[in-house]
Order: sequence, then structure tokens, then C-alpha cells
Amino acid sequence: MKKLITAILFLLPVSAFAAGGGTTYPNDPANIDLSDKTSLQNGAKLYVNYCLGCHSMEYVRYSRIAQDLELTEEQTVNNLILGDQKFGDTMDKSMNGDLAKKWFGVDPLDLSLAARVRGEDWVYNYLRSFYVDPSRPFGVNNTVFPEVGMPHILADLQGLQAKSDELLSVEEQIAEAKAVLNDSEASEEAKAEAEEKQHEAEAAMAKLAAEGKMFVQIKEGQMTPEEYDENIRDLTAFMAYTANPVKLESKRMGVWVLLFLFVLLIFAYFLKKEFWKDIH
Amino acid sequence: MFKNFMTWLDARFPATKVWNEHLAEYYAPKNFNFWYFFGSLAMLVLVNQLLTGIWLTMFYSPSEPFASVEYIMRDVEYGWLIRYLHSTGASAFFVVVYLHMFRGIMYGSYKKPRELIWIFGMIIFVLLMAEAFMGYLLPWGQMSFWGAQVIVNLFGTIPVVGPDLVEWIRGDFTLSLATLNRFFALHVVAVPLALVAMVFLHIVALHKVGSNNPDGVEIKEKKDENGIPLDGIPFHPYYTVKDIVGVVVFMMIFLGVVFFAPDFGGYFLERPNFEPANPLKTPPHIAPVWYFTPFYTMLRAVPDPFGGFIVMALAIVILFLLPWLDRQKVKSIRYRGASYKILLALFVISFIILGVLGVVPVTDFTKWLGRICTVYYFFFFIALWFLPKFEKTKPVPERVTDK
Repeated sequence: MKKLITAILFLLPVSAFAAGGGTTYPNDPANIDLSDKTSLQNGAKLYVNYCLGCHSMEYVRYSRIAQDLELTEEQTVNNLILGDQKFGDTMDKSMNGDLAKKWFGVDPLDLSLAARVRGEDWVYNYLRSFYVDPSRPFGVNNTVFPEVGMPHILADLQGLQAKSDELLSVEEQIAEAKAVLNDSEASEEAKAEAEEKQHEAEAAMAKLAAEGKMFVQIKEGQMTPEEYDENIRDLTAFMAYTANPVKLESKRMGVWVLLFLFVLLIFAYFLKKEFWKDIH
Repeated sequence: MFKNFMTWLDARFPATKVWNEHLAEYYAPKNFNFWYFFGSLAMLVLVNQLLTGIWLTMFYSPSEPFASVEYIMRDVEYGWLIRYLHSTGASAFFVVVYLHMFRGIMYGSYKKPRELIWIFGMIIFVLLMAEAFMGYLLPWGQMSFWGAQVIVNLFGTIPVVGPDLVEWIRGDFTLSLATLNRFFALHVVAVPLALVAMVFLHIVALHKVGSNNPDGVEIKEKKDENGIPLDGIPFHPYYTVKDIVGVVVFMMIFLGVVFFAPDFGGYFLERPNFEPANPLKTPPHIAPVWYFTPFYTMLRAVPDPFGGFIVMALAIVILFLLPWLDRQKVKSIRYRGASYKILLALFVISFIILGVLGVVPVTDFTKWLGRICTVYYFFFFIALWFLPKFEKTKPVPERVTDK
């Protein structure tokens, strides 16, 4: 009984949060490596060059980045600090928030913690999923963040991509199925059929995403798709680092703490045994 | 030298007397098992919360809540560790307290003469819920804000006085920094004081009547010629050395979470809470922290919000009445009938289901499952009242058994 209860306790809650919100595609794993300093440094460079204009990291200090990413003060000042900010400052955006509200309708978010709010995989996929959509104000939309209010700032690196024909046809199937499901006059049979169709189409979508066939390149960028993905991985790694800068240190310390406790446990166990040997 | 000092001290303060009465000559049953670790572990977690809380208060600022938490996480030396110890400690507190309460139910530890220990314990549980709820607002993240919004608005469902009451609790027309400031005062001063006082009373009452044990046998009924219970052993050193083992094992699990998974997959620290509170943007899915979810499901099980509020409150109130609802004289589950064992097993399962349902989005199925489990929750307590009429108990031994 006890074992059964324990088993239930551990199994049930695991997927509870995954159930909220639908899956967006592509959903490739980011596979970042926080211990790879070169990757983090490249991510920092990309962030400063492409993101920091609009998105501050108001909780992140340049000096802390230098320390954690193994950069000297000189390297940091020369490469990461573009405006008149100081080494010990936090990363301010160059854009004025009030003007931004006029231009974009919103003051762009602070991204210090973005990777912790959305998840690393989300950030990685989002930055790879801009596609051409003339109906949007900036001419691009995003499959991971539909109706996105931001231009494709990395377009000169990635180039431009459009939805593939396969993706368009799968999306059409899903839309058709949904229309039937939402139609109050549709028969039960039609609905069951539509539901099945929807599942099939969603499976096809997942397959397209896994095979990397969601988009077709319509304009070359400075990078090949492989290079672009690699750079986005670095950028994601940097954002994951800023969201939780102590992750590596915490794990390193944790190993020593657990080792100490393990040794203490041995002593504690024999101490208890010694004291209790005369209790029957 | 030390002896002289103790003589001097004892003439002015009952140091040796207290040491003996509560440790060296406090006789505890010798057959405590695994379940008896959680009382002392709860004390350990309380001390952890008090100490880490004091250090957090040194750097936290209720006028800039979100930013000051990030300041603690990034700029304060080992601030992240103090904060994770505190946030993980909150969840650990409920883990050990729920297990401690389950132990009490399983071995009938609330029965005569220990009713008052149970009542004090229940007051501690209610205080702990208040403490955790107010503490969760302090990081001022999206879940802090919207979770508090949902709970505070519950009081608004009370007829007539509801809306005024909510305004009085918030100290403002909306949930704002004014609310956060008063929650901060209550969280760091008022409730901890009350908690420590109640823990003191809980232990004083326990040491007056003596501990129950897995056999539910009163060890004070069989004493030797010196008046020492035959089945009792001095708490110190026997249970102090035993509890050290429990403490080390607990710390391995606890610190494992602190260092390797402080978010615990979004259950101890929820993802949306890394986004500053925004009164204009409701998160798509508001879920309370895991330790409140069983009661949250009961709230949602009733279609009428005020009805839900009443059911949730009754779920706590009925726990206070447990010593009088359970009329069976036999204390321990070991000597109670199969009917009781089944009833209790189903109670545990339904309580866990209620907890899980509190974090998943509502569907028709979960709604009805939640209702069934809510009804069963109350059925359990009512069934206890009638159970002695049907229950086939086993004979309780005279002395405690080995296993």
C-alpha cells in the first residue's frame, strides 16, 4: 500500500503544467551548454548587437557577465558596452521607453528573466520561426508567437523564410477540422470525423517540424541555416544564463554539500547504533 | 567550575530542571518508527525559515519587491542560496507537516488525553497556511499577484459584508503595494510570533501527557519501581541521536532540491512568477502552489463561489473536530478493523487526487472527480463517528511491540 501511494505521488504531478496551453511548432530542443564559455560569449555579443537596442536586462550587470563569462574588463568595455554605460552598470536599452510605446504600441519587455518565464526551448524556437506575412505591420509573423509585434531583427543573418506548401496544407486541414468542431449544426458523426482529421493533421505538423520542413528559404542571409541555428543556440544559452546566473555554481556546490552529508550520515548512523544497542 | 556555574544558574533559573523534564528524563516510547521523524523535522524547517527569513528581510524591500528579490538573487553574496532555502523550505514545511498529521491520524494520536495537542497542531497548520499565502505575495510576480487576487476575492463572496471586507484586507481598492506592505508585516512579524508561541504550547502539551506510539499503548500505565515507564527511554540521548540520522537524510533530499532543482519543475517556484506582477495581464492558467491545491479543488468543486468558500473552510474546521468525531477507543491503525484501513486508504488517495486536480485545467471529468473526492473527504469524518458500531478491532497489547 505504502509503495503504491508513493508511486502515485511521484508519477501524477509530472505532466500537470505541460497540459496547460497548446504546443507550438517547431519545438526542437535547445540543447544549450552553460559551461561552454565561448558559446555564452557569442550569445552575449549577439544580444548586445541585436537585442539590447530595444530589450534591456535591468537586473544583469556587465561586470557580473565579465566575471561569469571569463572576460576582462577591457574586453567587456570594448565589445559589450556600446553606449556610455559603465562596467558596473546593469544592461539598459538604448531606446527610450516612451518613444517605443509610440512606435510599437508597447514598451519592449525586459528580458533578464525571459528564458525562465518561457523556457529555453521556447526562446530557441521562437527566434528561428519568423516567416514572411505581408498582412503584419513589419511584414513578418511567427509560428511560435502568432501575431508577434516585433520585426524580424535577425533577418540579415537568417535571411527570410516563408511557410512551406506542406505546412500551409496541414494548417488548412486543421482550420477546416476546427470549423466543423465549432459548428453547432454539424452532426455528431461529422464532428467525430473532424476530430480524427485534426489529430492526423497535428501529427503531420509535428512530423514536418521534426524534419525541419515547415519553412522554405526565400532570401539568403549572411549565415547558412546550420550556422544560424548554432548562433541562436548561443544566444539562447546567454539568455538562460542571465535568467539564472547561479545555476552552474549551485550544482557545483550541491555536489560537495551532498558528499559531506553522505559522510555525516555514516557517522550519524553508527552513533545511533552504538547508543541503541542496549535497547530491546 | 561548570558544576559551580550550574548551581549558581539553577538557583536563579530552572535550567537543569527544564533539561531533565524535556530531554534527559523525558521518557518517550521505545518503539517510534519512520513516521516519528516528522515532528522534529518540522522544528528544523521552522528554524530554517526563521533564519533565512531574517536574512532575506535584510535585503528585501516592499517598495520595490520584484527588483529587490532579483537583487537578492544576483547581487547579494549567496543571496540566491538564502532565497532558495526559504522558498524550498516553504514546500518542505508542508511536506513534513502533512506527513506529521497523517501519522497522528494513523496512530490515533489525537485521542484522549491528547486532544489539545491536536488542537494546537491544527492552529499551527492554519497559521502556516496564512504564513505561506502571505509570503507568496512578496516576490510580486504574476502568480504572486493573481494567486492572492483569487484568494482575497474569496472573502468578497461573503454576503453583505464581503466587498467591504475585501477592501479592508487589501487596504486599497485594488490589490496593490499597500496590500503587499501589510502582508509583509504579518509575514515577518505577527504570524511567525504566533507560530513560535503555538509550537511551544504544542510541545508543552505533548510533554505533559507523553508521546503516543505506533501501538497506541499508554506507556505511563506500566512503570517500574522508580516510576519510569517500562517501555520508555529518555529522549536524550536516544531520540536525539536517532533524529540526527533523520535530519541528515532529510537534509540530503532538501538540499538536493535546493541546489539542483529549486523550481522543482514549476511546483515550488512557478514559471510565471519570474515575470513582474501586471494587474492588466491575467496569466492563462492560475494555479496555487501545490500545498494549497487540495483545498483549491474543493473550492472549485462547488458551482457557487460562496458555497465553495464555505466548503473549503469546513474542510479545515472538520479537522479540528477529529478527536471527537473518531469515537473508537482503539488508537492505532495496527489494531483497528479492515473497514478503518480501507476508509483511511481511500481518504489518502482522494486527498492526493484533490491535490493533483488543483493544478490541472478544469474539464468536465476533473470537475466531477473533484466533487466525488470532496464528498468523500467529508464522508470520511462522518464515517469515523459511526464506525465503532461495525468495526472489528483486534486486541491491543499490554506493552509496546517490537515491530
